[in-house]
Amino acid sequence: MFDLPEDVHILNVATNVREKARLIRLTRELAAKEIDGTWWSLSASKSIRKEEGDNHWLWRKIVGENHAKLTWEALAIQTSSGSIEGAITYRIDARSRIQSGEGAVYVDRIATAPRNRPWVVEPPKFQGIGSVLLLAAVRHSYLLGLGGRVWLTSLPSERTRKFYRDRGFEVIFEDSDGMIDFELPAAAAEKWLKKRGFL
Amino acid sequence: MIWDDDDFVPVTGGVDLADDYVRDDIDALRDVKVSSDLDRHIVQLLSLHKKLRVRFRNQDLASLDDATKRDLLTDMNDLLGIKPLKTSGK
Repeated sequence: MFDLPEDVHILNVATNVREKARLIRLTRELAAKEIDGTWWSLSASKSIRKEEGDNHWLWRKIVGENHAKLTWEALAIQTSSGSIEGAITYRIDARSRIQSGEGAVYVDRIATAPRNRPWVVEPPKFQGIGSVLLLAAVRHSYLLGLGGRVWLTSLPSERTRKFYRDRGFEVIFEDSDGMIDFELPAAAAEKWLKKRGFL
Repeated sequence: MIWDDDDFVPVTGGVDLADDYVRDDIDALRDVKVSSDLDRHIVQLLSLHKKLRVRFRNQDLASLDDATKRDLLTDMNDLLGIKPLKTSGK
């Protein structure tokens, strides 16, 4: 099963040292205090903040509305000082878009703290947050017998495409605004899990 | 150690899952209450996989101790071909 909390490592950019952190379940209280209350208290300009797609997300509301559902999960990475450096929410009751008749995990949201985004704050504080979170969803999908299949809808950009493509995600739909649905097939999930030493 | 995945991850999401993409065979899961992470995982597995429901449907989790539940989980994993994951990856 997916045992939490779990030790993970993230890169402290300033020291270039990997620090131990914890992958945890995100509670409403933590979301309110360590995400909604702190993530956007940074020195980046208003215009930069405005461009970030998640600047209006209220994580405490999202978690509060969904935490009781067994089909829904919210995970976060917490440092030893207690700060939340990234979070992901997903549902386990989705249909696979690639493999008919199979289930998949659908990622509702994934975000690193703005202080970890190099296009918002230079230098960022930590790196590796998103990969740890995304891989957690893949691991959970695998442990639930869903083959590691994960799909999500992403913003359009070549950088985004490359990130997901490099990890084996396939484009399954692109709308007229350029929003892209990606799915990680079971074979690619297994390959990623093996590469990262989980299988 | 390999750390080649530590680059950019875009902010993604905020799009609700359309009904067409939600499985319609696991309604029961949406109303169940559980008392531990182990129970949660077992109930999720039972709900997601029909062949588990056929085989293990008479299991009353409340009457089992944790060791027995873990044995039950092992049987379920074997049936589904789920290998245990190592606890810490590279």
